[in-house]
Amino acid sequence: MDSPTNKRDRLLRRTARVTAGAALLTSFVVASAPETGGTIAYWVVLPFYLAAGLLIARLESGRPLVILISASLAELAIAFCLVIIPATPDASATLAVTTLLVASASGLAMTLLVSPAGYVTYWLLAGITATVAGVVLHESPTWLPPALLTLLGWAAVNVIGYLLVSSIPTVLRQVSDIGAAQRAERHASELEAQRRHSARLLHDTVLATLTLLAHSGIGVSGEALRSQARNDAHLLRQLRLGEPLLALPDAGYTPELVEESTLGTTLERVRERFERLSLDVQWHGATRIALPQPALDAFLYAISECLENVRRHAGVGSAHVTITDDTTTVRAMITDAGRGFDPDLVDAERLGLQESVIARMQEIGGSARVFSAPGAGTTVLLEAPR
Amino acid sequence: MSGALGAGRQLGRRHAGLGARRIWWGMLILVGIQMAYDLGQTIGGDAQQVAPELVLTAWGVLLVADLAVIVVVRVLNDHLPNWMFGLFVAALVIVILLDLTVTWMRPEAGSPVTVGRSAVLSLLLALTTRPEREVLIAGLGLAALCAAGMALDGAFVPPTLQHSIFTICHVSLTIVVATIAIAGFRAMVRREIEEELSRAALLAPQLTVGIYQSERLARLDLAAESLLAAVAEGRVQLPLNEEIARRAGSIASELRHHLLESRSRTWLDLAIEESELLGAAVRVSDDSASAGLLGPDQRSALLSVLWLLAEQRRPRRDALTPTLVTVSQPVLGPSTRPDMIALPVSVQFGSDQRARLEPGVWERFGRIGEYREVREQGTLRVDILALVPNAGHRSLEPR
Repeated sequence: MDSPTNKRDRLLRRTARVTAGAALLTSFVVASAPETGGTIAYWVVLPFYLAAGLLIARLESGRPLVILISASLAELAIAFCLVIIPATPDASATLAVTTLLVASASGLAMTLLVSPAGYVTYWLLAGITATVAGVVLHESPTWLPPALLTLLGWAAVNVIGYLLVSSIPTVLRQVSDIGAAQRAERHASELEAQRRHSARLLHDTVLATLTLLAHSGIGVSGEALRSQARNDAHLLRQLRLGEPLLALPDAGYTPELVEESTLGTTLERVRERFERLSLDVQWHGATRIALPQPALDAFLYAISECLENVRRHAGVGSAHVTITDDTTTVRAMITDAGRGFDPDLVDAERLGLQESVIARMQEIGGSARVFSAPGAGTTVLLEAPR
Repeated sequence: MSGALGAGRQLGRRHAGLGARRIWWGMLILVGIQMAYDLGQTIGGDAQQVAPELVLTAWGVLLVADLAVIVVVRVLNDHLPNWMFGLFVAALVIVILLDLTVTWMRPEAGSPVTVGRSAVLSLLLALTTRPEREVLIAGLGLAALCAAGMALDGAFVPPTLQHSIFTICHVSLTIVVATIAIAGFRAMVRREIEEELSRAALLAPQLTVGIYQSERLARLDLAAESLLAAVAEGRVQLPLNEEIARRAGSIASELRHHLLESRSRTWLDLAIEESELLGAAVRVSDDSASAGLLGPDQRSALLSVLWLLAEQRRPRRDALTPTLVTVSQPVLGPSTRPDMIALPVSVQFGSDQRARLEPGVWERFGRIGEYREVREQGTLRVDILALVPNAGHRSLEPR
């Protein structure tokens, strides 16, 4: 890679080139205006302008010190010729010379601003230029004396050069930080890709299943296809969640969805719990509830609360839970043949339904309805959107 | 594949403003110097003020506008919103018009603008936070406004001709120089970032996938998972309807394609893909994906060569033929090194690169392997024989 010094020098030279070049151009345009334009002095300095311009144009590719010295000499020659040749230098000459000394010479010297010695040289040159300005320019084009104006110009160029040079190490450091972050990200993505890739080679069934599905699953028994899809979804889910693939049941793993097996256990546990409390719970319908985890939790909790109400208030030893689902809704019906109550008279609040059941179901976008009459048992219908 | 060029390049663009804060401070100081100077001329100028209230208003508007921009740029962390930039330019136009009105009111023709000059250069405060083209256009527009106003006042005839020319050159060229300088600085920063990002690819294993490829695989997996889960849970009816079947088919073919293709890529493909500069200047032909066999130092040297070559080119991109890097299948190494195989790498230079090469380029070629120059029909090619460890070789001798 290029050294930081090279980068700094290149940037500085480019800036110096445009600064010095623009000032030279300004000076030339002003000198070309009457009355200087067309005089002998003008024709004398013309080659020097040309030479200085060509030298400055090569500032980036040539040897900067040689160019700095020769271009400065050319500009000095312009300054003296414009002021000394005419008997009384007019306003254009004064202005053209001032521009050269204030901005073009300082722009050239900007390339020096890379070391303490360079700064010393720079300000030495500034002093010399200011002296020249003070001597040759008898009147100032502005309200500031020529020498002071020159020093001001050199100071401004110094500021630019300093800030350009000093910003480079900071920038390079930040760039290298970005690079480090990028390397880390690439490393991580490489690992991730490798993990996915090797997993895919081990269990190359996903492609086969997708291909079957692409043919609409015709010719394969629906149950077999579902079971295969379940296995593959399981594999991909574990990959996605970053679970170690070793935990996968190997060849011939059991095709169970995580939710389903958990739910099976959960329903069994609910049954056991109420059995211990002498309430016989009978499950009917679907053995799985296709709900996302948080909704599933709320749903199961609401069922338990309803069963708790049956146990406390119904005065019977058994309850039935029927779970059904369609494309939009999952329903659970909790039924008992107990003593029942009049929903209009008995406050839902008192039964603990409000907080524990209705609010919970509403949280997951579902609903709970109670149907009961004295002596006719109670049915609670829970509905949750899929 | 154009999307694949995203990650690195976007990162490069996002950080293009890096390091500009110091330059902004420089611009602040420059504008300060210019304003102090112009204020000095307004106060100490020889001409009697004909309408001090207008001059005062102009300075007031300029100060408020500048302060507002300074505060916004600092508060928003080197950002200047569009509307704020628009307001700023509008305020500068008002300042210039006020200043021109004052010069018109003066009895003598061609009086100098003062606060107007500061107003144009105040644009430099927005230089680091806006695209350089905007600042350039606004600056030249304001300078033209000044020039037009001065022309109306008869400033472009002797004896005020020189000063008028000087004033216009001064303000417009300062803006031009500043925009060229910041453009150079930004180009340097962007190039640095791109090179740094492309170097991140050096650490890749023999065959690799890009960041983007990895993301794409993850997305495909997710799509497959949700489809399979829908089938497993019976949320979709079997046999599948046509649309879902088609979706399954497209996921399958994409996955298959991905598994076949993704790991035939090497660090060299990634490094070039993730840099806009390198992407435009270099083509790689490496069907056997052999570039992955190169060792860390060889990779680094080859990438440096490509960057140095890209650096030497002129920015006219359309006119150039790219550098062509060809990596062939490894061949038998020298008999003295049975543990190594030789990888032929050739670098065919673009037609515009015959002239001269930095010595650093040759030094880096040497770090890759033994090289020789081949000149054919006015083009230069460098053939390198890079020695890489022979993975199949089992040395029995203890090292």
